[in-house]
Amino acid sequence: MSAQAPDPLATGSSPQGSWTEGVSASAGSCQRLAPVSGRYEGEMTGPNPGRYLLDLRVDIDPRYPNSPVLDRISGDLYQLFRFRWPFGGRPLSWRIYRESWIVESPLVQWSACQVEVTGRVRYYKGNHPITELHLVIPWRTAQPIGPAEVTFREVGGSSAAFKCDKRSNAFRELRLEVDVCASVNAPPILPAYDTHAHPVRPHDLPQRTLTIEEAYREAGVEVTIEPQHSLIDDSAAEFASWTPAELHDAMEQHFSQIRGGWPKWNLWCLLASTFEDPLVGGIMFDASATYGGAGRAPERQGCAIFRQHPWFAALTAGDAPATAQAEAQRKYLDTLVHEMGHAFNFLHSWNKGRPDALSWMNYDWRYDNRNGPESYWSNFRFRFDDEELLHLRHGDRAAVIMGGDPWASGGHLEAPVGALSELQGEAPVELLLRSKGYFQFMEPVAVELRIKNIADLPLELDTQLAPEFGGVVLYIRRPDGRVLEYAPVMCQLATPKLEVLQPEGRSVEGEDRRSQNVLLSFGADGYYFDEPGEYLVRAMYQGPGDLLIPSNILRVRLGQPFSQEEERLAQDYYSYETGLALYLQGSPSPFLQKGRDTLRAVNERFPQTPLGAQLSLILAQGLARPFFRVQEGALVKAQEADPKTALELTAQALAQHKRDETTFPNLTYHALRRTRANLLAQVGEVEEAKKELNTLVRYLKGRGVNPPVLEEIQQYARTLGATA
Amino acid sequence: MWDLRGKKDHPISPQPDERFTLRIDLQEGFARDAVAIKLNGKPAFSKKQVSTQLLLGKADSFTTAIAPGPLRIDLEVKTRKLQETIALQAEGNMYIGVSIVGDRLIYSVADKPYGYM
Repeated sequence: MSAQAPDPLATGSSPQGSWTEGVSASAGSCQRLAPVSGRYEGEMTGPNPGRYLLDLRVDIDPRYPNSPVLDRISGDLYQLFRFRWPFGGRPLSWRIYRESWIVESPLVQWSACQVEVTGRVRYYKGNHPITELHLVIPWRTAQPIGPAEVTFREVGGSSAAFKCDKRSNAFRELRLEVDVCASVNAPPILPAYDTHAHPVRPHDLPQRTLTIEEAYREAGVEVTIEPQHSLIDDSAAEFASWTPAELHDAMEQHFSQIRGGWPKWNLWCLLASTFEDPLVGGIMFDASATYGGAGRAPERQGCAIFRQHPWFAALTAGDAPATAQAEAQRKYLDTLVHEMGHAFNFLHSWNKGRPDALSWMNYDWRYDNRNGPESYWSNFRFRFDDEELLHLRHGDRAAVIMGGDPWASGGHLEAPVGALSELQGEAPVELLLRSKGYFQFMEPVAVELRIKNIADLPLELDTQLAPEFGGVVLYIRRPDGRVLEYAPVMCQLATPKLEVLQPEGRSVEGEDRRSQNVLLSFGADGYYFDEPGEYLVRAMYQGPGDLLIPSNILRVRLGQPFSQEEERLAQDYYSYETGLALYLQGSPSPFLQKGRDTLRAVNERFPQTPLGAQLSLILAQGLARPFFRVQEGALVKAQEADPKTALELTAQALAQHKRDETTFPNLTYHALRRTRANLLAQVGEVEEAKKELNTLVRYLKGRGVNPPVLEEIQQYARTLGATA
Repeated sequence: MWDLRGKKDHPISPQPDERFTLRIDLQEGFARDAVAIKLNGKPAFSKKQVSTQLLLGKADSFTTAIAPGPLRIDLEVKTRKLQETIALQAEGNMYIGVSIVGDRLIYSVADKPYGYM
C-alpha cells in the first residue's frame, strides 16, 4: 500500500531525460531528481559489521516510462568472507549467496525528504521467526538517492541492520552474448522495432523504438549486450539444421562465460539458420530433454533464433518500408525477448493458466484462436504480464538467475538453508563433487569429494571429508524436488585431520588436493536414492575459522527397474536393515542378518552388473576381518574373518569391471584392489598381494592418477611385504 | 474455440490435378499418448508415446498433400479413449492444431502454418 506515491513519469514520454525534466517531490533542499525505486547494495552495519551483504530491490515509484510499479520490496542476502595470509600475500574475498526474501504488502510513507517503508518479510526458503522490515531512504537536492537504511527485526528482539547505496534504476542486471552463424550473418543482427510501424496495434500505444535492452529495461532488467559477436562457420556440406544437443555443444564452444561457476547473470544467444523442426522460430534449448531441451545441467544458459524461419523472411534493418517488413521486425523482437524470458525461467502464458495474457510469453495465434483474428497485436502493449514482472524483479534468486533452478521448476520453498548456496569471488579452496553419474536401480550411490588448494600459498586444511565428522554437509535434491540434508547414521568426534595442501602448479602434481569416497545411499533418514530419476547433490565444506566453501552441483541419475523381479527385490532392499548393512559395509552383526541376506540375494541375482559388483565389494569388506561383540560384559570373537569367500566375491567384482570399466570409478577401484591385496596377504599369498597392488598402480597411472597416490600404494606394497 | 472453416473470402477454383498441403500439429496436452489419424477413412498417421514438449507447446506433426474437396479427419487418442471428427472443405493449404484440454480434443484450423518458439 502506498501513500502519496509520486507519479512523475507520464506514460509515453521519452525514456531519455525523464528525470531531468524537473521531476521533484519537494522544493528546497529535498528536490528529488531520480526514482527511489531500483537496486541497492550494502554491507551489514550491525550486529556483525561487514559479515553480510544485502542486495535490495525497491519497487514503489515509477522509475521508467511504460514500466508498472509493483509495490514490492525484495532482496538477496550474501555472507561475506575475507581471507588474509598470515605472512602477507594477496588477500582474497568472496561471497556466498544465502537466501532471498520479499515484502509483499509494504506500507509506504512518503515525506518531503525521505520515504519510510515497513512490512512483513517472507523468506522464500527455510524457517524463520516472524521478521519485520523497516526501510528509510532519504534524498537531498543534487545528491544521489540514499543510502537506504534497512533493519530486519525478528520477533524476540534480535535485529540486523544494513546501509545500502543505490546502484541502478533497474532491479537486476544481465550480460547477453550474441553469436552469429555465417549463413545468417546479415543485418539486422539485433532487433529494433518502432512500435507504430505496424498498423495493427493498440490505439493508445506509446510510440518508442524497442530493442532487447529497452524491452527489458521497461521490465526492470538492465541488459548489456557484448559488443563483439563471434562468427560461427555453419557451412559444413551435410549440415542442414540444428538440434538442441548441437546448440548446447555450440554454446560450450563459443560462449565466453560458459566456464566458471554458475549460476550467474549471463546468457548466450545464437543467431542460427534452421531448427530441426523448421516451424520453430526460436528456442531456449538449455532445459531438460523431457521438455524438448538439450538435457544438460546447469540449465537456462542459452537460446537460439532461427533467422531462416518464414517469420523473418522480410526482415530489414532500419525503418520498415511496408507492413511486411514491420511484421518481421516485430516478430524478430518478439522472438528474442520471448526466448530470453524462458531463460529467466518463464513458461508460456497458457502453461501458467493465463491463456489470455497479453505478454511476451504468449503466442499470437494462440491468443487469436481464443479472442479473434489479430486480437493479440491489437491489444499487446509489448510487456510481460504483472505476475511475470513479479518473478523477474522479485522472485527467488535461484528461480530467476541463469543456471539456477532447472527450467520450469519451482522455487525450492522447502529447501534447507545452505542447499543452494553459491560462491562468487575468489576463494582459496575448491570443493569438487564427482561420480560416475548413472547408477543402476538399487546400486549403492557413492560420490567423490575432492578438496583442492587453489590459492597462491600452502594451506593447512582438515582433509577428513566424510560427513560423519561434521566438516562437510551434503544436500540432495530428489526427483520430486524435495531437498534433504544428508544425515549420517553415525556422528564421529575426532581431531581434525590437518594436512598441508600445496599451491596448485607449484608442487608435485596432486599435492594440492585430497579426495575421499562417500556412500550417500543410506543415512539417518533412511534411503536417499530409492526412486528412479535425477538427483542433484551439493556439499558445503566448513574449514578452519569461518572458511565456508560450496561445491559444484553434481547430477546423478538412478535407473529404472528392468523387471518385476527387480521391483519385488527392491521392496526388501529399500528397508532399514538392508540400508544399515550397506552403510556398515556388510557388517556381520547378527542384528543385521536379514539385511545382509538381502544384499547377498541381490548380489547373486545380478552377478554381472554394476549393482552386483558393488555389492560384492561391500559383502567382501564385511568378511575381511573377524567380528567381535560384547557378550556377558566381555568382548568375544563372534565370527572369524572369511578371506576365501571375500576373495571370491572381489573376483566377481573385478570380472564385472573388466567387462565394463565404468563400473568402478578410480577411488572405488582402488578400494577393491586394496581389499584384495589385504585378503591375499591374510591367506599368506604375499607375492600375489603385491602383484595386485602393482596392477592397481599400472591401472591408475594409465588413468592419469597423480604420483603421490601411486607412491602411497607402492609404499603400502613394500610395507605389506615387510610385515608378511 | 475459433476456427476458419468456410472462412475463405475468395475461394479459388482448383485445377483438376491441384493438390494442397495439409499439416496437422499435435500441440498441447499430450503425455506418452498413442495417436491415430485417418484422412477420409484411410490411416494417415499413427504413433505411440506422443508427448508435448513444454518448451515449444508442440508434440508432433505430419504433413501430407490433399485433393480439393470434402475432407474428413478422424482423430483418436487411444490411450485416453478420445475421438474427434473434423469435416472440412479443402480449398487451399490447411494447417490444423490439435490439443487435449481436460477430457476433450480441441482443434483449430488456419490457412498459414503455426509457428513455435
